[in-house]
Amino acid sequence: MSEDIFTRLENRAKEIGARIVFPEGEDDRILRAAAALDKNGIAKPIILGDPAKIESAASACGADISGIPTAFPKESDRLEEMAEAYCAMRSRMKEKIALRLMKKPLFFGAMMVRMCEADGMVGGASCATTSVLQAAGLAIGYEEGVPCPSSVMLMKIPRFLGGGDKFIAFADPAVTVDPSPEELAAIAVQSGCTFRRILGEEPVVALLSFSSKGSAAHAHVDKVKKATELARGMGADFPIDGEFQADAALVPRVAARKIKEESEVAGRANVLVFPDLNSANIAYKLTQYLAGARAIGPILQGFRKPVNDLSRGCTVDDIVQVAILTSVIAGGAH
Amino acid sequence: MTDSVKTRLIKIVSETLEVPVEEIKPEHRFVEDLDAESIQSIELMAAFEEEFDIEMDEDEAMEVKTVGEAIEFVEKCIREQK
Repeated sequence: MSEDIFTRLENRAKEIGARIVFPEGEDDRILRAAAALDKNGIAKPIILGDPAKIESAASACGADISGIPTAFPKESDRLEEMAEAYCAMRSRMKEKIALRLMKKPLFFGAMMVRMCEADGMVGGASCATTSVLQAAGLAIGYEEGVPCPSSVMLMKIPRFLGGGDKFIAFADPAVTVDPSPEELAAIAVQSGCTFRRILGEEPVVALLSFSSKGSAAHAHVDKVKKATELARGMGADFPIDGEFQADAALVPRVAARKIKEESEVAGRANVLVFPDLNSANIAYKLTQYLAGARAIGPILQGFRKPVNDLSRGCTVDDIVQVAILTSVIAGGAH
Repeated sequence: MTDSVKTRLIKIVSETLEVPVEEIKPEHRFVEDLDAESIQSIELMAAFEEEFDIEMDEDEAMEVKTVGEAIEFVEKCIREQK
């Protein structure tokens, strides 16, 4: 893979031309990113916020946002229609309270995605991840059979096992702290799908533990075994197996010694599903700093439509990259 | 903790989470004791905003875990915004 991953993804995003809504349109970083996405034909941004504040922030930072559609959630004539649609999804929700929610830019943006007026949402530059997850979970909802949102980090490993660079996905390093077997199974399937959507490569999913196919006995191992069994029953069209130690999942030589049964995954995995957020988060940071791997993400997954979260310290380039990833996911399978 | 805020807030919690008013105590945690879905807190917050005609800061509101803390937070918002 000689071409830089983001050059490839950017070209794909250009083909897709996704409409990406940015709820934090009064932030100059968002405006500069939106201007770059628009100018370079990477995506079709939609900016939310107070028009006067957007205008003054844009002129202060020199972002050319002429031609980019904007909407002001607090005064939009779409509020009632959105509130009605929201009440139809949430039993016991009163229209007055739904109207309050729709005036919040994250909810307005998420409802635009729900109502197919945008293809994806990118938020979180000035709010907590929890706020993004709540708005997306309530207004867009989860994919069928998915009990919780999760995330995946794409790691570009330099000179993997002495060969060329290789992409390996780590899940879930950012959202679900201690997933149940059912949640872990969904994370495994979702992560395989995300890997394929972004890279166009076939996923080979391993559920990791400190045990390889029964080499150790503990409740923590039982959780991963149960999750593996559930994930394999979810009808994914790519191989999923476990429980494996990381070396048995990644290294053919180790897999040949440790795994005595037939497995399409042992020694070939490119999607690693960790038993909890502790292990996934520690593993990706160690890989990033000890192995010099490039970390791309976290990419959110599990929602019916793509939504991604920014860190509060994000740069304009970070926002552009997250918008590219969101567009590529919105574009579906390669 | 003024009684009127407490009574009105508990009524909203009762309606939103379908828990009888008499079973809701200030020390109750929304998620663990009252079975709120964790993503529902924003809906509760919007309901409080509507009832008391206030704006709540989302980041600060996320720190609220119990009914008593919610009452105190609403009272603080009322004091600051009236």
